[in-house]
Amino acid sequence: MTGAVICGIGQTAYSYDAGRSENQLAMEAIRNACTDAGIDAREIDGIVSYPFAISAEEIFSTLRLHRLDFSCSVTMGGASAVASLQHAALAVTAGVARYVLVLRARTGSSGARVQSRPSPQPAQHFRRELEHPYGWNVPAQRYAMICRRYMIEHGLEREHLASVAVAASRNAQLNPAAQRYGRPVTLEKYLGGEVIADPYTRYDCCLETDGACAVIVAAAGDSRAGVRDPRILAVAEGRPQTPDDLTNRPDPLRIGLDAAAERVWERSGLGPEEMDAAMIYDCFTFELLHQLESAGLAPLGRSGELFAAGHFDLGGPLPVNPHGGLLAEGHLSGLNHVLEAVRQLRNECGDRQVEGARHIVVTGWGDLGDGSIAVLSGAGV
Amino acid sequence: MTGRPLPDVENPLFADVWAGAARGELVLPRCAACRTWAWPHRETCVGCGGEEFEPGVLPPRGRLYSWTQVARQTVRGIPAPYTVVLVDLDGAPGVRMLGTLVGDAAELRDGLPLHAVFTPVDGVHLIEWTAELTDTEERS
Repeated sequence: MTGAVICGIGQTAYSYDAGRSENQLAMEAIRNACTDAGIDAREIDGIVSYPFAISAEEIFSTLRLHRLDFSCSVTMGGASAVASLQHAALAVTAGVARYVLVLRARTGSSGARVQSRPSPQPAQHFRRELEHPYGWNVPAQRYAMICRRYMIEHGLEREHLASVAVAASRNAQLNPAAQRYGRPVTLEKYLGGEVIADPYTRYDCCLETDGACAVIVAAAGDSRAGVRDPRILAVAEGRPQTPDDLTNRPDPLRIGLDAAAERVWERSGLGPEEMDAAMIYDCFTFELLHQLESAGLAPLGRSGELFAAGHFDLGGPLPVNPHGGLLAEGHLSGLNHVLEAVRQLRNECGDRQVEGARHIVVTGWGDLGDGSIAVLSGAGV
Repeated sequence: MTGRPLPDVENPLFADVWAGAARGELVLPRCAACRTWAWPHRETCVGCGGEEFEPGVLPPRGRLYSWTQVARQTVRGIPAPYTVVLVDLDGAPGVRMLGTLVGDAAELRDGLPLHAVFTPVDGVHLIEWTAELTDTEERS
């Protein structure tokens, strides 16, 4: 077997207040991923880090790595996690590094609120001079503007958005590691959620999380765990028109994932109809629906009614986010979606296992509409 | 002082815009060579690569493209609820402005005609939008 594989995954508990620092959470997740991969943490020789988070240098120092032959940081907001698989895969297949770490660690719940965090978004002067003075400064408000436009052009019902939030929470009841485990969001609860930025209400918004998760990528031949490892079949990233400005984008419904998806299906030699499950970046309910259409997993304008009809439920034709996603498992910037894809492909998911899952598509969404997408395939497929 | 974030009226990229707003005019930069509207303003013209820009006056009117009614406060000095609107400018096809809505948010719909309103806040004139025509002169 050639190409890159995910040879180890690890995580911490996901919680609202871990009482520990980002560094401590990160180290636990990394150690768990290395144990899973059967390597010593000091063998990590490549790191893809997340902007404004723990640095490659700090990881190097804390773990006393032997060497660091490859490092980069991907600035695509929530699309970074999946896009990072591309950098990691390129590095290991080119022989530049053997074990590349992709990490997300955060105190997103107990730490600074979203509007107070340093932002790695491009063109900060547009935000500062033209947007913040009008009270438009957080993702819920920006993406609400896209959602409203979609409603105008295609129609979208409250019950469609509700079905996404309720399904995520229902799936999380099968995932003891999920933050919403034991605390389901019923339809009644959803409908009682206060407005944040219309049309988004409280339960249209994802969780905030303290925790960390980590992935180790290696060339197939370097994996110690061997036969069980899922392959990274193809990865692509894409940007919308004017990726540094949402306000004057000719068509805000065209997103980075449109182009990325086209390329990933081309490169993987597979199509949407061959996917057994989908892990979709669900920062907000509508963003999940939007990406289903963008990736070719639902027809344009119909994702909402299909979702409400159960098409994307566990046990349905294309299960989405069996772990509960960002809405109900936790917000690890979508790297937790990659972990779930790996667990599903390794057939380790118990009650929420998608039977016989062979191919899984994972998407990322971030900043002002950047997109990323990966197709992962089970060992021996 | 309200303590809310305000644009830097000295920033050369947008100085003409705020100076125009203070006079009650909707002014945006445009390329001196190819006349492409530069919004939001970048240092290089996206139409021709030109580096010279001049202020252009536009009719203070547009049509509603999208909006969100913000119910939870996220910006110091801007208490919720308020409505943020995206407006297609009548005089510059393809150019949109972001602003806040003045007046009733109940009747918002795609394409709703809006007028610019120049609202003084702590020494800057912010460009807001309203569907209430009679308000325009009073506020400007």
